[in-house]
Amino acid sequence: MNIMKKYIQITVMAVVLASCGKEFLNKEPHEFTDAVFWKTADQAESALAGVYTPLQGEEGLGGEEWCSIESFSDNAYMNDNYSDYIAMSEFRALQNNEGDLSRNSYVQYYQAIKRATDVLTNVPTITMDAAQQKRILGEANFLLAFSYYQLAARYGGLPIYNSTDPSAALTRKTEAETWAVIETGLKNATTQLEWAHQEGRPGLGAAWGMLAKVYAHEGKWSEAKTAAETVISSGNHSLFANYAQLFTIEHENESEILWGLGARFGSYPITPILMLPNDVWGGKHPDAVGAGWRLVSATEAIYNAYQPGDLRKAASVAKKGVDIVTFNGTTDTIVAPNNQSPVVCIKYMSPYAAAYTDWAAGLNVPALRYADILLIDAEAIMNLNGGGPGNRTTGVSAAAVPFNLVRQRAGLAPISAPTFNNLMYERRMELAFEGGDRHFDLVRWGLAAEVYNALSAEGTYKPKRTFIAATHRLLPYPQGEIDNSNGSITQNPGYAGK
Amino acid sequence: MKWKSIIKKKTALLLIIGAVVFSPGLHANALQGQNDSGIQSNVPLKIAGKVTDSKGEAIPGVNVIVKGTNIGIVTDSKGQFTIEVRDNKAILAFSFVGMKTQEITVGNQTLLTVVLTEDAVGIDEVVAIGYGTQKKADLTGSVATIASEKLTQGINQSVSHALQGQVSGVTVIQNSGEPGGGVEIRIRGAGSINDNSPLYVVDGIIGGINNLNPSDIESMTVLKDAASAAIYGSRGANGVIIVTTKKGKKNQKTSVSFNTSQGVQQAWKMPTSLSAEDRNMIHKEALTNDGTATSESIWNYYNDPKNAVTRTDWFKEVLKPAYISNTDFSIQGGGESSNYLFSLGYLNNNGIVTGTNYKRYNVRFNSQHEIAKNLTFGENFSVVVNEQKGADTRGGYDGVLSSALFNMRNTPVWVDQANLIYGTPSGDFPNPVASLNSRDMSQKNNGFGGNAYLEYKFLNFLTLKTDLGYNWGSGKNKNFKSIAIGGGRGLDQNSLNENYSTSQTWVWNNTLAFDKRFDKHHLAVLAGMSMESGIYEWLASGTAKNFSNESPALRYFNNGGTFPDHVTGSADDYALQSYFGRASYEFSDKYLFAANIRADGSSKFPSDKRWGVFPSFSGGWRISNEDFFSGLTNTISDLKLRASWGQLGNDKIPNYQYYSTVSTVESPTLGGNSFTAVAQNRYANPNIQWEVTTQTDLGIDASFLNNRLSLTADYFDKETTNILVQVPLVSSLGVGTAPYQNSGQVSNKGYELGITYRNMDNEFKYSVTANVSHVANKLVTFGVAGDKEIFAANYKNVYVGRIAEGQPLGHFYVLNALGLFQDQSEIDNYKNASGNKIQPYAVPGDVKFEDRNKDGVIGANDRFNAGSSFPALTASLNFNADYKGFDMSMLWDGTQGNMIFNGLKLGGVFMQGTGYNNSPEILDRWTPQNKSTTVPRVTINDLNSNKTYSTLYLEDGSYARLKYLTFGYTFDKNVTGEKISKLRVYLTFQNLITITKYTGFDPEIGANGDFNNNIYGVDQGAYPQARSYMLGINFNF
Repeated sequence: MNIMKKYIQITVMAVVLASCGKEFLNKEPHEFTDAVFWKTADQAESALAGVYTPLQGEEGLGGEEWCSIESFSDNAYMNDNYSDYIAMSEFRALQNNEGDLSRNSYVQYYQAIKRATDVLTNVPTITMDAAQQKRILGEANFLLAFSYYQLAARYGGLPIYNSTDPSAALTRKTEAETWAVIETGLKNATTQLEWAHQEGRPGLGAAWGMLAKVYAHEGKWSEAKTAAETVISSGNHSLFANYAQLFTIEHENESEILWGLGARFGSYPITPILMLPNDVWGGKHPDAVGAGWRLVSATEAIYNAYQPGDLRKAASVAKKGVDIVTFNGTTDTIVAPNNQSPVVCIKYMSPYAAAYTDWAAGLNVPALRYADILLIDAEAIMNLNGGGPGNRTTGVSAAAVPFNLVRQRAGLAPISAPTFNNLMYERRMELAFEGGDRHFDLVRWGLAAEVYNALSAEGTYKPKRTFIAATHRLLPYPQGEIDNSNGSITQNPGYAGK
Repeated sequence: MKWKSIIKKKTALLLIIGAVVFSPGLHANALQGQNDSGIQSNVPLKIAGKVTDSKGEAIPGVNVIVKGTNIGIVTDSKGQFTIEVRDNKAILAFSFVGMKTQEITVGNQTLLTVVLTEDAVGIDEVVAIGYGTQKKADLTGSVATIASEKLTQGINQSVSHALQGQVSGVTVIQNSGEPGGGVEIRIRGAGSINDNSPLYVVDGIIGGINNLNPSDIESMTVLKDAASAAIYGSRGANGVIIVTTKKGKKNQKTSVSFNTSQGVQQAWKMPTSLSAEDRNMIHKEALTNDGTATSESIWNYYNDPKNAVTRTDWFKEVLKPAYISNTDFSIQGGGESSNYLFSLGYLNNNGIVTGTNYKRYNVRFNSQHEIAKNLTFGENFSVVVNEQKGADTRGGYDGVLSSALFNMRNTPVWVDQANLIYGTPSGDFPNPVASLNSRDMSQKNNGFGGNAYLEYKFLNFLTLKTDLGYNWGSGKNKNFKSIAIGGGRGLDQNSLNENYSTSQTWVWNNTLAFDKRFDKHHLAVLAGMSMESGIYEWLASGTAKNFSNESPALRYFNNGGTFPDHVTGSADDYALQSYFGRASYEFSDKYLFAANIRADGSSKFPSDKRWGVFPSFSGGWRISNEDFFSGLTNTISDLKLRASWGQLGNDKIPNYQYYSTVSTVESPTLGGNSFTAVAQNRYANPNIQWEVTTQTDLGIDASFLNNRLSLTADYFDKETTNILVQVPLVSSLGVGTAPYQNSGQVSNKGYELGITYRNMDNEFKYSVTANVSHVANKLVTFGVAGDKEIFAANYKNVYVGRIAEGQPLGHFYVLNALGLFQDQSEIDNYKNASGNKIQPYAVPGDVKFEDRNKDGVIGANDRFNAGSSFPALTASLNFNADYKGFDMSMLWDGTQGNMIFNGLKLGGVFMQGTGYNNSPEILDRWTPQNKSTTVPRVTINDLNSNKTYSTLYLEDGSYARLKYLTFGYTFDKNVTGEKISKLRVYLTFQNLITITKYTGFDPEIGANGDFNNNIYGVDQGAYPQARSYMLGINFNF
């Protein structure tokens, strides 16, 4: 009986103890919760770094989608068999079921948008060095606007993320509202950033430059001119003398690069491997066969469009069996049997000149260049002086200075009164394979139908295409987003489905 | 709020029960007094005796009980017993697992010889029911048991594998035939949209079963309905599997057992791909179909005669016969107050994909000691070490099997074997031999743990038990890739990743059980509490690269040329606290009732949603024990009806869902260097709470012809509400993972039928058991405004499945292929309302898709429910026979009515480019001369998008498979002598025969970890099951 009493007492005690131990069921995550985060300057810096992360993803800036978007233009085609993406780039797609390039880049830009918004919401509450705080907010504003810009150029009006109202993510704003958000972000950045900036981060040059580009999209020419000339007159940026060398690891951080997305050996972004043929020498020389992803390649059309003496040609494209390239320690005529067209884009091949090293070669991505801004300035001046897409043969001498800086660097003779046609050529060749500018330019100029529809088929890899501006000026909206919103996110006009 | 008040009431109730039960001298003493002062008029008698089986062999460990009392003992090693009874009217009951219980009235005898006969049905079998045991006959819920010998047929990697086909309503889905590959177990379908795996309880402690040695298991019990599982409340919604490991027996002479089996396994089916000649023909035809000018360089490859020579059969290079073995050893025994079992186990399973291997080492020590009168101490302790050497077999882009299919057969394995230069693949899939040779992927897991308990029996009807369980485990993954020159993409560089984790869990259970018969009444009550807590801690390295020497001895971080940027690591912990009670009442062996209640508090839910209360009720009627039935007992020997209702919970979601966390993400490059980055990657759900399953079960147990034919049938209706599900978010919310929500309702209805016929009376003894089960499930509602569907089962970045309101879970959602366009007029006539061609890019031989929504174009909105990945029926057939020492057994297992999405058709019959080989099925492609086919014309450009996922990818996944076929012979005692109690040799075939229409590698494909749980049947080149041949020996002395 006594033993029994003891056991009963122990059990009763245990039960009582257990029920008292309310703390027992409280388990907290072994990671920062919102309650303990956003307290220090270091935390603010790492949260800002988190905005850069998705941009460096496989389909982010300099990634697969960034390379592939070039195939919408007449410069390039999809060499790898992404059939749903190819259908879009050939203006055949009725929907966007492309679940890889298109969908993932959309996801990655929105991750950057959400994280930038979190930084903008929370960093002002942190007690920290005021200059550092301002820079962090400036970078966040720039990255927010830049990400929205990439998506708006592709898809038009967008859901605008709001950290306090999740339902905002479920409906698209109009295109005008979206561009206004982009403009606001960049304007804020121009009040927060400094001209001096670290490699991989935007400075004031990037903020004003991007703002100029956005104004150009909106047709706000005088604002575009002012913004571009704020960069030009700052004296902080200039063209680098050698176009080809800009895309080498040695010169990836020249002042011409207003913003270059940072890359390091062994990590994303991986632009060079994406364009590299998977068999450069066709067995003639030692080669890391199978290494190159030959995702996108150049058309014969762009190869033939270079003006004689244009130094950008040899820096950008090479013809199989004709042009000489240096790869993996050998200099010889390129073979590339697995590239479908006779032409290969070699703009980012330099990291592999001495030896094939790694699929992530560590070349920064030229996200925004001074040359682009000079041409935006020239374009704005033309539009303000009787030139422009509707008046392509009118020479505008006032645009000559910024225009010729770019042209002469390419080894071509200056033009005293450049026309819009001249400008179209410069923008195409200067910015080829740098994230789809050619296509976005033609669309904003209203000239895509005229240019694309006039081209005849080039092999089976670049068939004859029919561009209908009302539909194809925007890509079809990713179907997964429409599905996951249960239709509150709507499809762009001209495409199938809700 | 509501829960809280219920909890308070519940706690109060428990305390009252506790107070009544615990208060000494009151209730309990009164009962004791009654016992002591009962009929004691006569002089006690001492009865002695011996218990044997029908062959005259002594049976130790038989329970001998004086009926109507709690006096009882167990026979000793010679099968002998002595017991004291009150008078000569006393009845002795002799019971032993697997034997018919016998009752003998003492009368004038003082020396008894009792012969127990084998019980055909096991009606008196005692089964584990959770915190206790119950006689099978008294069960009111749906409970199935599996005997140990069923688990050691063949060589099984784990207990889960061995469960296949053993119990109706339990589906075992093998995720792959890979050594160490996972298994998913479903009891009665899929209640939830997330984790549907059952709860495992090993020797009373909640844990896993995959590391157990199958031969250590005494029995397994599956609690299928809510009433049976309710004692496990919050985690029983998907059913409970209770495992009891073998123990020594009281007064058992020391016995040693040694079993080994050795064998060889090979692919049951050898897949093939196109020869170089056929590939040339097909690819050239595709280029011609696409109008590719003969001047284009792409033709050069096919025109080069070197490329028309078939040099390699990739499947034969990667799938080779492999040696397997399984050995175990045990020693057990017991005395008057102590017993023990010690066992060792070793499994060595080489995979049929070259170089893959799984090894498992088990050690177990179980013992029980009566340390004072009525006070027992016991422990179960085990150690397990397992090592898996894997290969990337399932990767959509670099898996060995898809690489074997898609690589050209003119490519040699080696260009220069002496200098280790591989034949270079033409496409992105690596040379599979290079891939196998260069990848050193290993996983090592170590674990130890068990439980220790004290059990005190007092007042003859109360048992107090406290049981403390602890488990520790560690896991280490190491993935080294070496350079394979020429091997293809991803093999040009060496790298090393490692990660390491440890886990610890402890559980403390305390129970007080009351068990007493009053005349015709039998009442058993259990009250208990349990606390449980666990923590998992992990550390993962980044990738080290550029090892200057790849020697296996140097495959450690210190020898890397480039070190990882940073390591990551964190931890996960949880706690659970529970109170539970059970009462079961039986009257006159006819009427059975039981009620359970359990309250659980879980750290996975916020404090105001933390507690859940789960009740259940059940009843049974043993009609065959009614007086009016007595005339029928010759025909119907036993008949019982059962009904139950209960509610159960499910908390299988990751921890901390009610917190949003800011965690480390990939480090970007800033200032030229990596910079530590963090981001909020998940939203919190502050309202998250239990998922609740309500289940009703109606069952019947019947035996006919003197228990020769027995039948168990159940119908169940399972309704799951507040389902924990990750409703996908739009990407514009900017986070990677959706938070879990309580949303929606799933219904599962079905039946289970098990029929056994046995004949044990003659020298030729045999039994046949057939199990059939059917489940129909449906998502009743999503319960979230707006959301009506979730897309699931991403195959190569496109969803092929969907979960939608009003539709069964796990259905495929693809376009409907109406056939192939036979001529241009058919294409021209396939028009929409506005007169435009629905498929403007089609040419004859292309796929005609149905415009189901009639919007005039083919698009994502034309997808439809194209069939289920869940079978309509799962069935198994078990046959055992025994004749003069020879034995034979077989198990057939199969499914009917499920579809498989044959992912390898993408590339296999739908061309993905000139860089890849194809399946032989492509030879039956549409051509103007071969129009009656379902394989479209060959094209690379595929302007009509023939390769869009459609019904052309779906195949009937039904199969029947002879899982085991065993022939054995047990040597007679005359040959082996007295010392050896058993010597048996046997031959086992595993997966000897497979009958299926499915054309892929294997119809048993399971689910992939990357996939949503509810879409099975997406075949992306799964590792096929192996066919094995084994010789074994059982040796006991």
